[in-house]
Amino acid sequence: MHAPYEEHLDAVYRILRYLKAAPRKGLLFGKTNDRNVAIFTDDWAGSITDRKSTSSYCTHVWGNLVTL
Amino acid sequence: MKKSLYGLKQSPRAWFEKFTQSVKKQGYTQGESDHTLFVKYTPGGKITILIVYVNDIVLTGDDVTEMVKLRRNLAAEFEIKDLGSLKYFLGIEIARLKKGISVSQQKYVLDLLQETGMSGCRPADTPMDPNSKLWEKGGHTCRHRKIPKVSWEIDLLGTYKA
Repeated sequence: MHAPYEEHLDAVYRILRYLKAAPRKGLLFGKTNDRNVAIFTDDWAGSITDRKSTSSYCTHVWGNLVTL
Repeated sequence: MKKSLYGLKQSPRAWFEKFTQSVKKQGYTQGESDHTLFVKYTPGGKITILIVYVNDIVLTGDDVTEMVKLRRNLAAEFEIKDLGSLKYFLGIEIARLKKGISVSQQKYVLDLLQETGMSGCRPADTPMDPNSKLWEKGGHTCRHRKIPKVSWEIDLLGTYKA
């Protein structure tokens, strides 16, 4: 990260507070009948100020999250 | 031979080399992108999967007979210890539930909270404030950058006592 501001650190603290609420939260690899691979993505170049990518993606195999 | 497997700097490599040969000899195919992954298909469409991380091995599949056989053969060649069903791997806790397999990192999270002095913080239901504008210029330069850890924690105390 090239320009960390106080606001970014606050965002990190917020994540830690979220973890505090649910330290055992995790992923469930459930039994499914789904036999597909599904990939979701959002806006590419989504930032209106510098057109940098603000997008993310996640992939599911057989209905379970595998990458993010 | 024994020394090169357990006592030297290049030992891990020698050990893994020997391990690979042994597993391949038993009909396993080494993964092309992940060289620590080994797979064996047995008649009837059954599968046995093995993955190695340093000196930890995870063995899974639906061919129980093959899994028992592999375990026995490995025990004859290497010093191994069977830890039973998978509970902990790479710092991840694994639990088998009726609805599936759950993975979590409770220990890691608690250690992280401890390390950052956030163990007693007020919990939040969501990981991000929907109104935060992290992309706008002109924020307050981060005071915490490159400041030694101790003062960083004192600062945290200040923030959360208020």
